Amino acid sequence: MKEPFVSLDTLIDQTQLLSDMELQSYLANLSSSQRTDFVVSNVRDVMDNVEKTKSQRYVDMADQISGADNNITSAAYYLARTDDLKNLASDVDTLTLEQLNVADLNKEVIGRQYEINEWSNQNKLDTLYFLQLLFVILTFVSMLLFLKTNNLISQSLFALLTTLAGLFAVFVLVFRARYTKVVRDDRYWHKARFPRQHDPFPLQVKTGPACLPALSSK
Amino acid sequence: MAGICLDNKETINDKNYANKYPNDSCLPNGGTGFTGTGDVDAKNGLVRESAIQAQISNLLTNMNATAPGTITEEKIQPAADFSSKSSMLRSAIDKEYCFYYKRYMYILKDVLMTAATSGESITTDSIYLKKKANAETINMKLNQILQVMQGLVNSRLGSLKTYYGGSTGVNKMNDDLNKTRSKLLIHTEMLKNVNMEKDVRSSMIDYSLEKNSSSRNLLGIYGFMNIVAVGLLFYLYRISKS
Repeated sequence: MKEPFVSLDTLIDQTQLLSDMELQSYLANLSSSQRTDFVVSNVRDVMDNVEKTKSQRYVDMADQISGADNNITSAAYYLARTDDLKNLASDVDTLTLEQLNVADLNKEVIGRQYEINEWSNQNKLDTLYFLQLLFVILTFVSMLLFLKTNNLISQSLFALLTTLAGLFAVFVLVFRARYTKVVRDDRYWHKARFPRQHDPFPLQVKTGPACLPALSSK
Repeated sequence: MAGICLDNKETINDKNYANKYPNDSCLPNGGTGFTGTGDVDAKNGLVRESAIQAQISNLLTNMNATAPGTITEEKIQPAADFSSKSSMLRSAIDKEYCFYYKRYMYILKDVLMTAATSGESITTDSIYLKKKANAETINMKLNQILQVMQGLVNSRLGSLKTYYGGSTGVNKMNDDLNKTRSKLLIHTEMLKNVNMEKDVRSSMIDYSLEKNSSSRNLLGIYGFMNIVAVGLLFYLYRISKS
Protein backbone atom coordinates (compact mmCIF):
# COMPACT_ATOMS: atom_id res chain seq x y z
CA MET A 1 0.00 0.00 0.00
CA LYS A 2 2.10 2.82 -1.29
CA GLU A 3 -0.56 5.53 -1.38
CA PRO A 4 -1.25 7.30 1.94
CA PHE A 5 -4.83 7.25 3.13
CA VAL A 6 -6.92 10.42 3.22
CA SER A 7 -7.04 11.81 6.72
CA LEU A 8 -10.21 12.81 8.48
CA ASP A 9 -9.00 16.38 8.85
CA THR A 10 -8.78 16.71 5.09
CA LEU A 11 -12.37 15.58 4.71
CA ILE A 12 -13.54 18.03 7.34
CA ASP A 13 -11.58 20.83 5.74
CA GLN A 14 -13.11 20.08 2.37
CA THR A 15 -16.58 20.07 3.87
CA GLN A 16 -16.02 23.26 5.81
CA LEU A 17 -14.46 24.89 2.78
CA LEU A 18 -17.53 24.23 0.75
CA SER A 19 -19.68 25.56 3.59
CA ASP A 20 -17.68 28.56 4.66
CA MET A 21 -15.79 30.20 1.85
CA GLU A 22 -16.95 30.14 -1.73
CA LEU A 23 -20.64 29.94 -1.12
CA GLN A 24 -21.00 32.46 1.70
CA SER A 25 -22.95 34.92 -0.39
CA TYR A 26 -25.09 32.19 -1.90
CA LEU A 27 -25.89 30.72 1.50
CA ALA A 28 -26.88 34.10 2.80
CA ASN A 29 -29.71 34.24 0.31
CA LEU A 30 -31.07 30.82 1.28
CA SER A 31 -33.62 30.04 3.94
CA SER A 32 -32.70 27.93 6.96
CA SER A 33 -34.18 24.73 5.54
CA GLN A 34 -32.51 25.33 2.18
CA ARG A 35 -29.16 25.82 3.90
CA THR A 36 -29.64 22.59 5.80
CA ASP A 37 -30.49 20.77 2.61
CA PHE A 38 -27.42 22.22 0.93
CA VAL A 39 -25.15 21.12 3.78
CA VAL A 40 -26.72 17.68 3.85
CA SER A 41 -26.17 17.41 0.12
CA ASN A 42 -22.52 18.32 0.46
CA VAL A 43 -22.01 15.88 3.29
CA ARG A 44 -23.72 13.17 1.24
CA ASP A 45 -21.32 13.81 -1.62
CA VAL A 46 -18.34 13.49 0.68
CA MET A 47 -19.79 10.35 2.24
CA ASP A 48 -20.38 8.85 -1.20
CA ASN A 49 -16.79 9.51 -2.13
CA VAL A 50 -15.54 7.98 1.10
CA GLU A 51 -17.78 4.95 0.70
CA LYS A 52 -16.70 4.49 -2.87
CA THR A 53 -13.02 4.72 -1.97
CA LYS A 54 -13.27 2.40 1.01
CA SER A 55 -15.40 -0.11 -0.88
CA GLN A 56 -13.18 -0.06 -3.92
CA ARG A 57 -10.03 -0.68 -1.93
CA TYR A 58 -11.59 -3.39 0.15
CA VAL A 59 -13.07 -5.20 -2.87
CA ASP A 60 -9.73 -4.99 -4.67
CA MET A 61 -7.89 -6.45 -1.70
CA ALA A 62 -10.52 -9.14 -1.12
CA ASP A 63 -10.39 -10.15 -4.78
CA GLN A 64 -6.61 -10.34 -4.72
CA ILE A 65 -6.59 -12.47 -1.59
CA SER A 66 -9.27 -14.73 -2.95
CA GLY A 67 -7.42 -15.13 -6.25
CA ALA A 68 -4.12 -15.84 -4.52
CA ASP A 69 -5.76 -18.39 -2.22
CA ASN A 70 -7.40 -20.08 -5.19
CA ASN A 71 -4.07 -20.22 -6.99
CA ILE A 72 -2.39 -21.76 -3.98
CA THR A 73 -5.21 -24.26 -3.57
CA SER A 74 -4.96 -25.25 -7.25
CA ALA A 75 -1.17 -25.53 -7.02
CA ALA A 76 -1.46 -27.59 -3.84
CA TYR A 77 -3.95 -29.93 -5.50
CA TYR A 78 -1.63 -30.19 -8.48
CA LEU A 79 1.27 -31.00 -6.17
CA ALA A 80 -0.79 -33.63 -4.39
CA ARG A 81 -1.92 -35.27 -7.64
CA THR A 82 1.61 -35.16 -9.05
CA ASP A 83 2.85 -36.77 -5.85
CA ASP A 84 0.18 -39.46 -6.19
CA LEU A 85 1.22 -40.02 -9.79
CA LYS A 86 4.87 -40.27 -8.79
CA ASN A 87 4.02 -42.79 -6.08
CA LEU A 88 1.93 -44.75 -8.55
CA ALA A 89 4.79 -44.82 -11.05
CA SER A 90 7.17 -45.88 -8.27
CA ASP A 91 4.85 -48.74 -7.33
CA VAL A 92 4.62 -49.89 -10.94
CA ASP A 93 8.40 -49.60 -11.23
CA THR A 94 8.81 -51.73 -8.10
CA LEU A 95 6.53 -54.36 -9.61
CA THR A 96 8.51 -54.26 -12.84
CA LEU A 97 11.74 -54.74 -10.92
CA GLU A 98 10.26 -57.71 -9.09
CA GLN A 99 9.19 -59.18 -12.41
CA LEU A 100 12.70 -58.61 -13.72
CA ASN A 101 14.14 -60.48 -10.74
CA VAL A 102 11.68 -63.32 -11.25
CA ALA A 103 12.49 -63.38 -14.96
CA ASP A 104 16.19 -63.47 -14.13
CA LEU A 105 15.64 -66.42 -11.82
CA ASN A 106 13.51 -68.13 -14.45
CA LYS A 107 16.22 -67.52 -17.02
CA GLU A 108 18.73 -69.32 -14.81
CA VAL A 109 16.33 -72.19 -14.15
CA ILE A 110 15.54 -72.50 -17.83
CA GLY A 111 19.23 -72.41 -18.72
CA ARG A 112 20.04 -75.08 -16.18
CA GLN A 113 17.16 -77.23 -17.35
CA TYR A 114 18.49 -76.98 -20.90
CA GLU A 115 21.92 -78.14 -19.68
CA ILE A 116 20.37 -81.07 -17.83
CA ASN A 117 18.41 -82.09 -20.91
CA GLU A 118 21.51 -81.87 -23.08
CA TRP A 119 23.57 -83.96 -20.63
CA SER A 120 20.82 -86.54 -20.43
CA ASN A 121 20.52 -86.71 -24.20
CA GLN A 122 24.27 -87.20 -24.63
CA ASN A 123 24.16 -89.92 -21.99
CA LYS A 124 21.44 -91.69 -23.94
CA LEU A 125 23.47 -91.40 -27.13
CA ASP A 126 26.45 -92.93 -25.32
CA THR A 127 24.31 -95.81 -24.16
CA LEU A 128 22.95 -96.13 -27.69
CA TYR A 129 26.49 -96.34 -29.01
CA PHE A 130 27.21 -99.30 -26.77
CA LEU A 131 23.96 -101.01 -27.71
CA GLN A 132 24.82 -100.58 -31.39
CA LEU A 133 28.27 -102.00 -30.76
CA LEU A 134 26.80 -104.91 -28.82
CA PHE A 135 24.38 -105.57 -31.64
CA VAL A 136 27.18 -105.59 -34.19
CA ILE A 137 29.25 -107.99 -32.03
CA LEU A 138 26.30 -110.32 -31.46
CA THR A 139 25.63 -110.35 -35.19
CA PHE A 140 29.31 -111.01 -35.80
CA VAL A 141 29.35 -113.90 -33.31
CA SER A 142 26.16 -115.29 -34.87
CA MET A 143 27.83 -115.22 -38.24
CA LEU A 144 30.91 -117.00 -36.83
CA LEU A 145 28.68 -119.59 -35.21
CA PHE A 146 26.92 -120.15 -38.51
CA LEU A 147 30.27 -120.65 -40.23
CA LYS A 148 31.48 -122.99 -37.53
CA THR A 149 28.27 -125.04 -37.69
CA ASN A 150 28.87 -125.54 -41.37
CA ASN A 151 32.53 -126.42 -40.63
CA LEU A 152 33.80 -123.43 -42.60
CA ILE A 153 35.96 -122.29 -39.69
CA SER A 154 37.62 -124.20 -36.91
CA GLN A 155 36.57 -124.33 -33.28
CA SER A 156 39.72 -122.59 -32.12
CA LEU A 157 39.29 -119.72 -34.60
CA PHE A 158 35.69 -119.33 -33.54
CA ALA A 159 36.70 -119.25 -29.87
CA LEU A 160 39.47 -116.74 -30.54
CA LEU A 161 37.36 -114.32 -32.54
CA THR A 162 34.42 -114.60 -30.14
CA THR A 163 36.67 -113.96 -27.16
CA LEU A 164 38.28 -110.94 -28.86
CA ALA A 165 34.89 -109.52 -29.78
CA GLY A 166 33.63 -110.06 -26.23
CA LEU A 167 36.70 -108.47 -24.71
CA PHE A 168 36.36 -105.52 -27.04
CA ALA A 169 32.74 -105.04 -26.00
CA VAL A 170 33.65 -105.25 -22.30
CA PHE A 171 36.55 -102.86 -22.81
CA VAL A 172 34.37 -100.30 -24.53
CA LEU A 173 31.72 -100.58 -21.80
CA VAL A 174 34.19 -100.21 -18.94
CA PHE A 175 36.18 -97.47 -20.62
CA ARG A 176 33.17 -95.30 -21.40
CA ALA A 177 31.54 -95.87 -18.02
CA ARG A 178 34.74 -94.96 -16.21
CA TYR A 179 35.32 -91.92 -18.44
CA THR A 180 31.83 -90.65 -17.71
CA LYS A 181 32.15 -91.22 -13.98
CA VAL A 182 35.71 -89.96 -13.46
CA VAL A 183 36.72 -87.59 -16.22
CA ARG A 184 33.57 -86.18 -17.73
CA ASP A 185 32.29 -82.86 -16.30
CA ASP A 186 29.09 -83.07 -14.30
CA ARG A 187 27.55 -80.12 -16.06
CA TYR A 188 28.81 -80.10 -19.63
CA TRP A 189 29.02 -83.44 -21.48
CA HIS A 190 31.88 -82.47 -23.75
CA LYS A 191 33.99 -80.92 -21.01
CA ALA A 192 36.66 -83.03 -19.29
CA ARG A 193 37.88 -82.58 -15.74
CA PHE A 194 41.56 -82.47 -14.99
CA PRO A 195 42.10 -82.76 -11.23
CA ARG A 196 45.64 -81.36 -11.24
CA GLN A 197 44.74 -78.35 -13.38
CA HIS A 198 43.00 -75.38 -11.81
CA ASP A 199 39.88 -74.39 -13.70
CA PRO A 200 40.60 -70.94 -15.17
CA PHE A 201 36.90 -70.29 -15.78
CA PRO A 202 34.97 -71.65 -12.80
CA LEU A 203 31.27 -71.99 -13.45
CA GLN A 204 28.78 -70.11 -11.33
CA VAL A 205 26.41 -72.88 -10.37
CA LYS A 206 23.48 -71.38 -8.48
CA THR A 207 20.69 -73.86 -8.85
CA GLY A 208 19.98 -77.31 -10.08
CA PRO A 209 21.48 -80.71 -9.36
CA ALA A 210 25.25 -81.02 -9.23
CA CYS A 211 25.36 -84.05 -11.47
CA LEU A 212 23.21 -86.62 -13.11
CA PRO A 213 23.34 -90.38 -12.56
CA ALA A 214 24.88 -92.27 -15.42
CA LEU A 215 22.53 -93.80 -17.96
CA SER A 216 19.58 -91.89 -16.54
CA SER A 217 16.66 -91.18 -18.79
CA LYS A 218 14.70 -87.99 -19.07
CA MET B 1 -20.52 -0.47 -7.39
CA ALA B 2 -22.68 -2.65 -5.19
CA GLY B 3 -22.31 -1.89 -1.53
CA ILE B 4 -20.13 -3.97 0.68
CA CYS B 5 -20.94 -5.36 4.11
CA LEU B 6 -24.56 -6.06 3.18
CA ASP B 7 -24.57 -9.03 5.54
CA ASN B 8 -23.84 -6.82 8.53
CA LYS B 9 -27.29 -5.89 9.85
CA GLU B 10 -26.02 -4.24 13.01
CA THR B 11 -27.64 -0.95 14.00
CA ILE B 12 -25.02 1.66 14.89
CA ASN B 13 -25.70 4.46 17.35
CA ASP B 14 -23.79 6.74 19.70
CA LYS B 15 -23.64 4.03 22.34
CA ASN B 16 -22.01 1.26 20.28
CA TYR B 17 -20.12 3.02 17.52
CA ALA B 18 -16.88 3.07 19.53
CA ASN B 19 -17.06 -0.60 20.48
CA LYS B 20 -14.07 -2.80 19.88
CA TYR B 21 -14.38 -5.84 17.63
CA PRO B 22 -15.46 -8.61 20.02
CA ASN B 23 -13.98 -11.59 18.16
CA ASP B 24 -10.40 -12.50 17.30
CA SER B 25 -8.99 -9.54 15.41
CA CYS B 26 -6.59 -9.55 12.49
CA LEU B 27 -4.96 -6.48 14.04
CA PRO B 28 -2.23 -6.79 16.66
CA ASN B 29 -2.34 -5.71 20.33
CA GLY B 30 -5.68 -7.37 20.98
CA GLY B 31 -7.40 -5.61 18.10
CA THR B 32 -6.12 -2.13 18.97
CA GLY B 33 -3.96 -2.06 15.85
CA PHE B 34 -0.43 -1.07 15.07
CA THR B 35 0.81 1.68 17.39
CA GLY B 36 4.09 3.43 18.04
CA THR B 37 6.78 4.65 15.73
CA GLY B 38 8.30 1.18 15.59
CA ASP B 39 5.30 -0.14 13.69
CA VAL B 40 3.90 2.96 11.98
CA ASP B 41 5.73 5.37 9.74
CA ALA B 42 5.06 8.87 11.17
CA LYS B 43 5.48 10.51 7.78
CA ASN B 44 2.59 8.88 5.95
CA GLY B 45 0.82 6.85 8.61
CA LEU B 46 1.50 3.58 6.85
CA VAL B 47 2.41 0.48 8.83
CA ARG B 48 5.97 -0.65 8.29
CA GLU B 49 6.57 -3.74 6.18
CA SER B 50 8.33 -5.62 8.97
CA ALA B 51 5.40 -5.10 11.33
CA ILE B 52 2.96 -6.26 8.67
CA GLN B 53 5.01 -9.39 8.00
CA ALA B 54 5.20 -10.22 11.70
CA GLN B 55 1.46 -9.79 12.07
CA ILE B 56 0.76 -11.89 8.96
CA SER B 57 2.97 -14.62 10.35
CA ASN B 58 1.09 -14.61 13.66
CA LEU B 59 -2.25 -14.48 11.89
CA LEU B 60 -1.50 -17.42 9.61
CA THR B 61 -0.14 -19.44 12.50
CA ASN B 62 -3.11 -18.74 14.73
CA MET B 63 -5.63 -19.45 11.97
CA ASN B 64 -3.58 -22.44 10.72
CA ALA B 65 -3.95 -20.97 7.24
CA THR B 66 -0.32 -21.14 6.14
CA ALA B 67 0.04 -22.26 2.53
CA PRO B 68 1.10 -25.91 2.37
CA GLY B 69 4.80 -25.96 1.54
CA THR B 70 5.24 -29.68 1.05
CA ILE B 71 3.00 -32.67 0.57
CA THR B 72 3.62 -35.45 3.03
CA GLU B 73 1.90 -38.73 3.64
CA GLU B 74 0.95 -37.61 7.13
CA LYS B 75 -0.94 -34.68 5.63
CA ILE B 76 -2.98 -36.27 2.93
CA GLN B 77 -5.30 -33.38 2.12
CA PRO B 78 -3.22 -30.20 2.46
CA ALA B 79 -5.06 -28.47 -0.37
CA ALA B 80 -8.48 -29.12 1.12
CA ASP B 81 -7.24 -28.05 4.56
CA PHE B 82 -5.76 -24.87 3.19
CA SER B 83 -8.87 -24.06 1.18
CA SER B 84 -11.04 -24.40 4.26
CA LYS B 85 -8.73 -22.48 6.61
CA SER B 86 -7.99 -19.68 4.17
CA SER B 87 -11.71 -19.25 3.55
CA MET B 88 -12.24 -18.92 7.30
CA LEU B 89 -9.46 -16.34 7.47
CA ARG B 90 -10.98 -14.27 4.66
CA SER B 91 -14.36 -14.48 6.31
CA ALA B 92 -12.90 -13.31 9.64
CA ILE B 93 -11.18 -10.35 8.00
CA ASP B 94 -14.36 -9.50 6.13
CA LYS B 95 -16.42 -9.48 9.32
CA GLU B 96 -13.95 -7.29 11.17
CA TYR B 97 -13.67 -4.86 8.29
CA CYS B 98 -17.42 -4.58 8.03
CA PHE B 99 -17.69 -4.15 11.79
CA TYR B 100 -15.51 -1.05 11.67
CA TYR B 101 -16.71 0.10 8.25
CA LYS B 102 -20.30 0.54 9.36
CA ARG B 103 -19.18 2.38 12.49
CA TYR B 104 -16.87 4.59 10.51
CA MET B 105 -19.56 5.56 8.04
CA TYR B 106 -21.89 6.34 10.92
CA ILE B 107 -19.49 8.47 12.93
CA LEU B 108 -18.01 10.13 9.85
CA LYS B 109 -21.41 11.34 8.78
CA ASP B 110 -22.07 12.58 12.28
CA VAL B 111 -18.77 14.42 12.50
CA LEU B 112 -19.10 15.95 9.05
CA MET B 113 -22.62 17.11 9.70
CA THR B 114 -21.57 18.64 12.98
CA ALA B 115 -18.57 20.31 11.40
CA ALA B 116 -20.59 21.65 8.49
CA THR B 117 -23.46 23.04 10.53
CA SER B 118 -21.53 24.49 13.46
CA GLY B 119 -19.43 27.56 13.62
CA GLU B 120 -15.92 28.17 14.92
CA SER B 121 -17.05 27.12 18.43
CA ILE B 122 -16.95 23.51 17.31
CA THR B 123 -13.20 23.37 17.74
CA THR B 124 -13.61 23.52 21.50
CA ASP B 125 -16.60 21.16 21.80
CA SER B 126 -15.37 18.17 23.80
CA ILE B 127 -18.09 15.83 22.51
CA TYR B 128 -17.27 16.71 18.93
CA LEU B 129 -13.55 16.34 19.52
CA LYS B 130 -14.08 12.94 21.13
CA LYS B 131 -16.20 11.76 18.20
CA LYS B 132 -13.63 13.07 15.79
CA ALA B 133 -10.87 11.24 17.64
CA ASN B 134 -12.92 8.03 17.62
CA ALA B 135 -13.59 8.43 13.91
CA GLU B 136 -9.87 8.79 13.30
CA THR B 137 -9.18 5.66 15.36
CA ILE B 138 -11.76 3.63 13.45
CA ASN B 139 -10.43 4.94 10.13
CA MET B 140 -6.95 3.97 11.22
CA LYS B 141 -8.14 0.45 11.94
CA LEU B 142 -9.83 0.19 8.55
CA ASN B 143 -6.68 1.35 6.83
CA GLN B 144 -4.55 -1.05 8.83
CA ILE B 145 -6.88 -3.93 7.99
CA LEU B 146 -6.42 -3.07 4.31
CA GLN B 147 -2.66 -3.06 4.81
CA VAL B 148 -2.86 -6.43 6.55
CA MET B 149 -4.84 -7.72 3.57
CA GLN B 150 -2.16 -6.38 1.24
CA GLY B 151 0.45 -8.13 3.36
CA LEU B 152 -1.55 -11.32 3.12
CA VAL B 153 -1.63 -11.04 -0.67
CA ASN B 154 2.15 -10.56 -0.70
CA SER B 155 2.56 -13.60 1.56
CA ARG B 156 0.43 -15.71 -0.77
CA LEU B 157 2.40 -14.55 -3.79
CA GLY B 158 5.59 -15.52 -1.96
CA SER B 159 4.19 -18.99 -1.34
CA LEU B 160 3.26 -19.30 -5.01
CA LYS B 161 6.82 -18.35 -5.96
CA THR B 162 8.13 -21.23 -3.85
CA TYR B 163 5.69 -23.58 -5.62
CA TYR B 164 6.96 -22.59 -9.01
CA GLY B 165 10.56 -21.92 -7.96
CA GLY B 166 13.57 -23.42 -9.66
CA SER B 167 14.19 -26.52 -7.58
CA THR B 168 11.17 -26.62 -5.31
CA GLY B 169 7.49 -27.41 -5.39
CA VAL B 170 5.98 -28.14 -8.75
CA ASN B 171 9.26 -28.21 -10.66
CA LYS B 172 10.89 -30.59 -8.18
CA MET B 173 7.82 -32.81 -8.20
CA ASN B 174 7.81 -32.84 -11.99
CA ASP B 175 11.51 -33.68 -12.03
CA ASP B 176 10.92 -36.55 -9.60
CA LEU B 177 8.04 -37.76 -11.71
CA ASN B 178 10.14 -37.63 -14.86
CA LYS B 179 12.96 -39.55 -13.19
CA THR B 180 10.56 -42.24 -11.99
CA ARG B 181 8.97 -42.40 -15.43
CA SER B 182 12.38 -42.78 -17.09
CA LYS B 183 13.31 -45.60 -14.71
CA LEU B 184 9.99 -47.26 -15.40
CA LEU B 185 10.52 -47.04 -19.16
CA ILE B 186 14.01 -48.54 -18.86
CA HIS B 187 12.80 -51.38 -16.66
CA THR B 188 9.82 -52.02 -18.93
CA GLU B 189 12.14 -52.25 -21.93
CA MET B 190 14.42 -54.60 -20.00
CA LEU B 191 11.44 -56.71 -19.08
CA LYS B 192 10.44 -56.97 -22.73
CA ASN B 193 13.96 -58.11 -23.67
CA VAL B 194 14.02 -60.60 -20.82
CA ASN B 195 10.70 -62.01 -21.95
CA MET B 196 12.05 -62.44 -25.50
CA GLU B 197 15.15 -64.19 -24.13
CA LYS B 198 12.94 -66.38 -21.98
CA ASP B 199 10.93 -67.38 -25.07
CA VAL B 200 14.13 -68.31 -26.92
CA ARG B 201 15.33 -70.41 -24.01
CA SER B 202 11.97 -72.09 -23.72
CA SER B 203 12.24 -73.05 -27.39
CA MET B 204 15.71 -74.45 -26.70
CA ILE B 205 14.28 -76.61 -23.92
CA ASP B 206 11.58 -77.88 -26.27
CA TYR B 207 14.28 -78.74 -28.80
CA SER B 208 16.35 -80.62 -26.20
CA LEU B 209 13.24 -82.51 -25.11
CA GLU B 210 12.64 -83.55 -28.72
CA LYS B 211 16.20 -84.82 -28.98
CA ASN B 212 15.79 -86.81 -25.75
CA SER B 213 12.62 -88.35 -27.07
CA SER B 214 14.35 -89.39 -30.30
CA SER B 215 17.28 -90.94 -28.40
CA ARG B 216 14.88 -92.80 -26.13
CA ASN B 217 13.15 -94.32 -29.15
CA LEU B 218 16.49 -95.40 -30.63
CA LEU B 219 17.46 -96.96 -27.30
CA GLY B 220 14.25 -98.95 -27.32
CA ILE B 221 14.79 -100.13 -30.91
CA TYR B 222 18.39 -101.18 -30.31
CA GLY B 223 17.50 -102.83 -27.04
CA PHE B 224 14.92 -104.90 -28.90
CA MET B 225 17.34 -105.68 -31.73
CA ASN B 226 19.93 -106.88 -29.20
CA ILE B 227 17.40 -109.17 -27.59
CA VAL B 228 16.58 -110.58 -31.04
CA ALA B 229 20.29 -110.99 -31.76
CA VAL B 230 20.84 -112.85 -28.48
CA GLY B 231 17.86 -115.07 -29.31
CA LEU B 232 19.25 -115.78 -32.76
CA LEU B 233 22.62 -116.60 -31.29
CA PHE B 234 21.05 -118.97 -28.79
CA TYR B 235 19.03 -120.60 -31.61
CA LEU B 236 22.14 -121.17 -33.73
CA TYR B 237 23.98 -122.52 -30.72
CA ARG B 238 21.20 -125.04 -30.15
CA ILE B 239 21.30 -126.09 -33.81
CA SER B 240 25.05 -126.49 -33.75
CA LYS B 241 24.83 -128.71 -30.68
CA SER B 242 22.16 -130.93 -32.19
